[in-house]
Amino acid sequence: MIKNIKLSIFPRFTAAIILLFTLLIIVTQTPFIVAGGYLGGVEYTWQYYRPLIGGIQIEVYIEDPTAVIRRGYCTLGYPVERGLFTRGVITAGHCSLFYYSPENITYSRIYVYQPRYSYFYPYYYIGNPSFVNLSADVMFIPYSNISPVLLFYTGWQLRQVPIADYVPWDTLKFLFESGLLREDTPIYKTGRSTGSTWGYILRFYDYITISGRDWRNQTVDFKAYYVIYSDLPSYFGDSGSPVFFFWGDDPRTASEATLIGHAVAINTANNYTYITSVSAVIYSGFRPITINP
Amino acid sequence: MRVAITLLLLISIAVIYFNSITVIGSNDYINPQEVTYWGPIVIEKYTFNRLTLVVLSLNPVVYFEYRNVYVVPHNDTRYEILRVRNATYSQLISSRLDQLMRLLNDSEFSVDPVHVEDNIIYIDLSKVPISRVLNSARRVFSDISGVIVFCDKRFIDIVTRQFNYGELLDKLGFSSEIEDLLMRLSRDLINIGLFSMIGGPGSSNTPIGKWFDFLAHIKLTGSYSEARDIIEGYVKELAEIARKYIPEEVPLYVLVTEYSGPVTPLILPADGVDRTPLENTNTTSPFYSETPQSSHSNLLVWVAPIVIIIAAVTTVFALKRTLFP
Repeated sequence: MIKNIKLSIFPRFTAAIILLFTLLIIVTQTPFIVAGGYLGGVEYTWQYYRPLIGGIQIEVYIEDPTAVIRRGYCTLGYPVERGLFTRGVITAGHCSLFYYSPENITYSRIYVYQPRYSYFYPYYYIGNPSFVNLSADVMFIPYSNISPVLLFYTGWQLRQVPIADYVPWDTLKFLFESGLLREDTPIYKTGRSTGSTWGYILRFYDYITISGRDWRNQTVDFKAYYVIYSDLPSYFGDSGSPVFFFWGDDPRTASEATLIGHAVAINTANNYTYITSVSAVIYSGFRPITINP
Repeated sequence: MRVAITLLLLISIAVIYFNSITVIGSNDYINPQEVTYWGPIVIEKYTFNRLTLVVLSLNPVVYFEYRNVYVVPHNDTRYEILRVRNATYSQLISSRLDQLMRLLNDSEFSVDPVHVEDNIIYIDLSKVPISRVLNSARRVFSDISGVIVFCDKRFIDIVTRQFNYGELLDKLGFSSEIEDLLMRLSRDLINIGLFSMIGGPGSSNTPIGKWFDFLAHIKLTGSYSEARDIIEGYVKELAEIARKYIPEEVPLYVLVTEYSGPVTPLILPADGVDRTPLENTNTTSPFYSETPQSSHSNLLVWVAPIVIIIAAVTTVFALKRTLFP
């Protein structure tokens, strides 16, 4: 009797589950095989970090002349220096939220927090940007307590990988075109929305033009120079994420990372990422800080 | 009856999941299972039982041509990497090249010697039809379960010619004339509502690791035919500028990706932000209309196969008990 009951229940139950999943897959159009490389580790990027390192969440506030406060999330790129005495961090230029505000806004009305704004924790505040270049898509926030390290989640372990060096856009392009770096060399990024992800480089552009709409619903042009296009997945909030690779080492054990740029835009059709090279930062007058002098 | 329904469901699930795998008998048609346009080349994939043949030939689809500048379709999705470093596999392919050449050459066709590099067979496809290459390869490599890649030598010629003018192409890249022209083109495409992105001069990877240069990459949210008049006008101007720097003998490309999604900055506006200015308009901002990515896709990827395996095991046990009580 018991056996008969089991026999009658199991196929029906199984069929119901299979049907449910079939419907889910069809309705959500979820691919069975995910092409991207998600490693995870999102939650770690939302925590409080001092010294500031690459790959952690920041929140930007802007106060426009009409006293309306706007805010948005981005990711901190990497530490840089200008000259002998100025040190700070880089993120994407559009994180300054200029696109949502009247043009006559000043830097002093932009407030950056890590990991977020908090009334109870005033030390989350890290400062105002002192430099914004929308053409190169670079924003610089002066801050002294920084470390040349990138947050990286391997899939089961959180690591803080030191930045050993950086590769400018034209050198990287040459390395790939000449075959010194193979097309299957993976690159990685860590961002506040998708955590650590990996992908391959597909194209190099001298510059790209994209457009969006500002808070007045007017079309604005957005331009970035020295751009690298990759299939590494990212999502809104990952602006400024540091992008790097490991010179053939196993990413789980690699002791050093090589920086190539920061994430700036995505193609919403496939979540592929546009990266602004470190060259754009260098031409803006900054130099990425590395562990090697 | 219930078992039969369950089995049918399982089969249907398998078909949905693994629809990319098509088993073709040895006497069946030779239609490519997959065709991908990749700028100057087209990648065609053929499956014969366990053998997969991939042919990279010159792209026959050219939307527009002016002074050896070609407007060609370009797929924006990454293609699997076909170049594999495997000495044993390359040796296996090389050892059968003579046999392949014997089959390719006859009184009708005379094919130049082919060579193998990183498991890719380079062949001049202007001298022999692809169908003949496929038929010959099927016979020579019928016992192999793997991928054999053929690449048209003419594509390598294009890459070499572009490489020889690399410095000039680099100079052309940051020419303000081209930058202004592409800016005007983007404005016109925005006005007709088809703009997604325009990338200036650059270089693109291919699945075999060879890079080629392009003058511009235009991503449209619609089809090329909708923007044909505008694009072709600008491409003529672009070609005139480019030919001041690069001789006419070097083919140059303008890549077009159709039905691309909008390309937007990656900032995430926080919830609760004052967005009142948008209320008066019918169109929504791409910045605000997006919702954060849910985790269902990753969850399904892990859970779905487990459920299927459980279902399969349960069904097998149920069948066993029914047939052999």
